[in-house]
Amino acid sequence: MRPVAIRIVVYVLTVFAIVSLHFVIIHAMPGDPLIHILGEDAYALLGQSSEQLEKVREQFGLDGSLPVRYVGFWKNILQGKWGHSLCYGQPVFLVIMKKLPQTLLLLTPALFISAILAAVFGTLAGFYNGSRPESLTTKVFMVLYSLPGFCIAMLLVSFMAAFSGNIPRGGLDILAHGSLLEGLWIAIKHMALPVAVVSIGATAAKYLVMKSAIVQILSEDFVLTAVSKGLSGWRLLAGHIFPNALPPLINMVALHAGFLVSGALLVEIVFSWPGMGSLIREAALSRDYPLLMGCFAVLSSCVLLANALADVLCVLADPRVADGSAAQ
Amino acid sequence: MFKACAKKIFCLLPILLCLLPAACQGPKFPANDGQILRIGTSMRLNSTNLIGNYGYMQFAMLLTHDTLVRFDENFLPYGQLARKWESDSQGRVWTFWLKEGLTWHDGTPLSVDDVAFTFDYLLEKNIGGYSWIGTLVSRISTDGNSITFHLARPYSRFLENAAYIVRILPKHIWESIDDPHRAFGRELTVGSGPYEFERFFETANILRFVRNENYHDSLPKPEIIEFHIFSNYDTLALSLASGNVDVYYKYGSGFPFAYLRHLNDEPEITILSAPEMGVPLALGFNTRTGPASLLNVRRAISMIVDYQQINAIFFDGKGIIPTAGFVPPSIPGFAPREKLAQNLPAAHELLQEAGFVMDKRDGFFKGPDGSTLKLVMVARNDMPHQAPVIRFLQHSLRQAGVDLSIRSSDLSSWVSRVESNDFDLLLFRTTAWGMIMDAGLGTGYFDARRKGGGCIANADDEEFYFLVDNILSTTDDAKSVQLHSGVQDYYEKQLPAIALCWGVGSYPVRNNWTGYTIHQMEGGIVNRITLGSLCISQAANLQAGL
Repeated sequence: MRPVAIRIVVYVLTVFAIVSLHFVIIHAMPGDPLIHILGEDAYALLGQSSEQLEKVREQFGLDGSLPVRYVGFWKNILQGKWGHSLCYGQPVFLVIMKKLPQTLLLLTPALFISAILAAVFGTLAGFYNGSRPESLTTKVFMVLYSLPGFCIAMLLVSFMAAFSGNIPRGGLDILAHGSLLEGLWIAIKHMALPVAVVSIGATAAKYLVMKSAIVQILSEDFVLTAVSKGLSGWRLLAGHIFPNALPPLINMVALHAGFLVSGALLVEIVFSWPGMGSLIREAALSRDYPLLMGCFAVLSSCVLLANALADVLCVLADPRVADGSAAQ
Repeated sequence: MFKACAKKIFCLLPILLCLLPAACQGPKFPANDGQILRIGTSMRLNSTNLIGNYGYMQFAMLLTHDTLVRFDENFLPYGQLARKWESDSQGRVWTFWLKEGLTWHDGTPLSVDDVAFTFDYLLEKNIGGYSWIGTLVSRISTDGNSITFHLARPYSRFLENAAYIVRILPKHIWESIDDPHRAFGRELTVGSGPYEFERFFETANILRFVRNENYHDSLPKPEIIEFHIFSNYDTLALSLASGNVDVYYKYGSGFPFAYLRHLNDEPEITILSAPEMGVPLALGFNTRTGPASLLNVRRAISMIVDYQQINAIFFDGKGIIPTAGFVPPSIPGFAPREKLAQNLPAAHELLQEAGFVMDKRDGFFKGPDGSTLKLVMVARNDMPHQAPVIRFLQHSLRQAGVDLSIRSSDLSSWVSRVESNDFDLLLFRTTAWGMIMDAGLGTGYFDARRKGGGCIANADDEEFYFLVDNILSTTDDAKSVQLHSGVQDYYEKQLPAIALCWGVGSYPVRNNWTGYTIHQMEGGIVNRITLGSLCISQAANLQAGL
């Protein structure tokens, strides 16, 4: 395993490269952010005078060439200034910090639920590969894996509308209720459907990976040795097979965790959940450059952090990874 | 035993799924006792700064901020902050007298100083859309309770373009704000309107207003108004059907037809309708370059379009077949004329007169140089109802022998293409306000002197300029009528654009409230007139035990 210092330098350089690429791509998008800031009618009125338009553009920091703005951007970042969102009119950091908890509230439980369910069902399915329950379960998960998340969301919403008459609109204000406990209980009720939707898709993907890993490990010699020794059932599964199947699951969970902060856009739209997915989409459509840069910077950092964490966890789960003997 | 255990775990899965509905039994909304009007909307809201956020500016217009004058549903002006007004015969000097006893929501008295400050502030801070103040208003003077605007030129439409649209701001709050676009805070919501801002529940997407009990005019009926913001129309429609919201509002838009069908059979919902002031679907032409610059080509295209089919398919048959005069009947000054109709033989004749010949080998018209008559249409992909129309138009034109390629982009890119004249045809829509702005009748979209800001600006001849300039300068009603008719004659003759269908906005409302009035100038069904006339229905009263 490479020295920690080198890894850190690599990650920093990676972040720099990613953020620079984001800057270029975002500013290369056609279109004028002012339309979204001012609204169509006001923009039409302002557009009559190119002089006025340029003054307003300067006000919002939208003037200047790309290299000048690039240098200015890094100067601000190094001073800890993320800039102001063009559409929200508020500091980018503040806007992201309002939406990020909403996304984490939605996707963190989904991450853990999907990991646990996939681990349990995937392991059992791999262990009893070929049996009737396994066949049925795999078919179900294949269907769920194939269905897009928003499709599952809409089906569930329609079902709930018919069943309970109460449409979970998603998004809530925990502090708006009398007590924190009451707020949390209502939060759980609001979260149930969106979390379920995200969990279903994520569980299906991890289930298939876990099942494949277990099936592969079952053909290993050490499993044959363990069975020859007289081990069976839980002891074999939990003590020998499952730990060896963990690295692929950990990698998948880490990948999923890294993209947590980008939210689940389509699910957020269905449930009107004000998370990062909707924020990034809105920022892209509005050409809100500072906000987009902030969101992508957060997203890139989280992906890299998650990957770093996955590296560490993999070593803990399988010491062979540390010294490279797994490859041998 | 392990196998039995594993089987039990497999059985858990369906049980877990069945528990889901139980977990989703959220609190039911309380029966409406006449206190809260819940409005479902798809308008986006980023902040509660009416200068910094376009979405909140609409809410401010509706509820929290008054203007000098307002227009009723028959487009007759009435005083809001002003009790009376007058202008000189040329429309160069406009004087407004404020009502007595006006106050802001925080109790501070409202005076002419606030009005003068607002106009100066909007100009000084370069607030988008108000730069016209600098070119139109040469001086503002106050005298006691009156304020006088001295204009740089005769301008008969000062009420529509200034007194109606400028939301008056409290000087004592805004004068200390250097950067109004980046300001945020509760004090920015202070206005003089019939409602006060209470709270924006950002995570719940609910915006709440409470009635201003000290309002200077008659009090509106609902004590509380909540806007529930939805990201998609499916859940919005479901919420209307289930009673989670009472009515739908989006500035300048009726409820999309595709989702309206789900509400048609709901017994608790009535669908109100009224002709829209804007043109929801229009086809503009590049009158400067390309094949569409030829009048005969524009006329031919206007005869290729199947207006009946467009109305039947995309407007559920509820739209109005337009005329070549472009202006819909709900706009003051509308002059009736013959409706547009498909006429393929006549279209072919016009194309031949323009120098194009039908090539029977591929069914397309060819120009004198042998190249196919091919047009590029630019459309917006952020208008959901336009997407299927684009394909329909492409099919119609191709069937008639005119090749059409589509460039679909979001609003920003669309405006860039319009600015650079990078199109032959332009699929666009006009808003209610857009039809009124400047000289009215949609002239603001076509006047080539107004190039910029996404306006099509393709009418660049003296005849059009004469009409527009005279409408703005004349205060003679009879002459205005003539000029308005002249504008529509021009549209018919020169075809800078054609309306594909005039819209009839549909507004689903739940039957627990009655007394809705549709006022298109204020954006639809939620407006000051509705808020003043709404009352809880008898059936709802019985249900609530009242």
